[in-house]
Amino acid sequence: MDNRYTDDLVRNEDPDDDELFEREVLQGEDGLFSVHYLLTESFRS
Amino acid sequence: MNLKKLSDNELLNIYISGDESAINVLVERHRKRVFDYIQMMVKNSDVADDIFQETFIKVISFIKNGRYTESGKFLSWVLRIAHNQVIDYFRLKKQQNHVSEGDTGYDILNNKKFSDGTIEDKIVANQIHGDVRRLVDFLSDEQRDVILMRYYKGMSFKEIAEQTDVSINTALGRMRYALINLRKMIDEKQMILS
Repeated sequence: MDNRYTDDLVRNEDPDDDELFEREVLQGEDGLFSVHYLLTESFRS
Repeated sequence: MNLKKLSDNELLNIYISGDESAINVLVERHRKRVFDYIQMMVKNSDVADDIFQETFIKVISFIKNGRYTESGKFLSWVLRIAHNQVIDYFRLKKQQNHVSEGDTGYDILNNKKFSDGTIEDKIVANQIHGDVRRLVDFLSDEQRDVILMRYYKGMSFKEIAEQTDVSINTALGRMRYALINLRKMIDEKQMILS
């Protein structure tokens, strides 16, 4: 990951967790949201 | 009014009060994620197109009948409907004896447990979910741990970072690579039951 992410985290001591997940993990790569949703459903059951 | 700037719930309220164009904005906003999910499961664009259409027909029907109750979680609700539509598709396909290893992304349907013709949607869903949980075991220890802490234990990334003694950024990076690797495994059709 580039430094921009780290800088953002340093500036924001208590970032919203879901927002972090969305921004740092799911964005920019096709198909990751689908895997995320499948995992959510799989561990819910 | 620029509908594109409104939240999902605001658009839903506008749609419910009679402005049909609001639903078009919602569909377009979430089209890619819903379609990608269906496509990942069925691995066939034409089938995915059909299921996508059926999903939103149901979505609209449910909204019109006042059955949307999950305030603030519209996308998750739509994906759950899409997920159920996919399961219906697999079940129907199995019943028609048209499922073969080559034309579905889910080899699980060829498992002997599903060959008795009495499959219920819930069983299919549980089988898919079991496959996904088993795939997690193929990840590295670090990636598996972050998946389990997040999805099974419901921990925040701050908590995960503290427990694994890494930075939040590292925990996020591990999660990202875990999802990328899982996606690769799903694409390579390694979701075969033991």
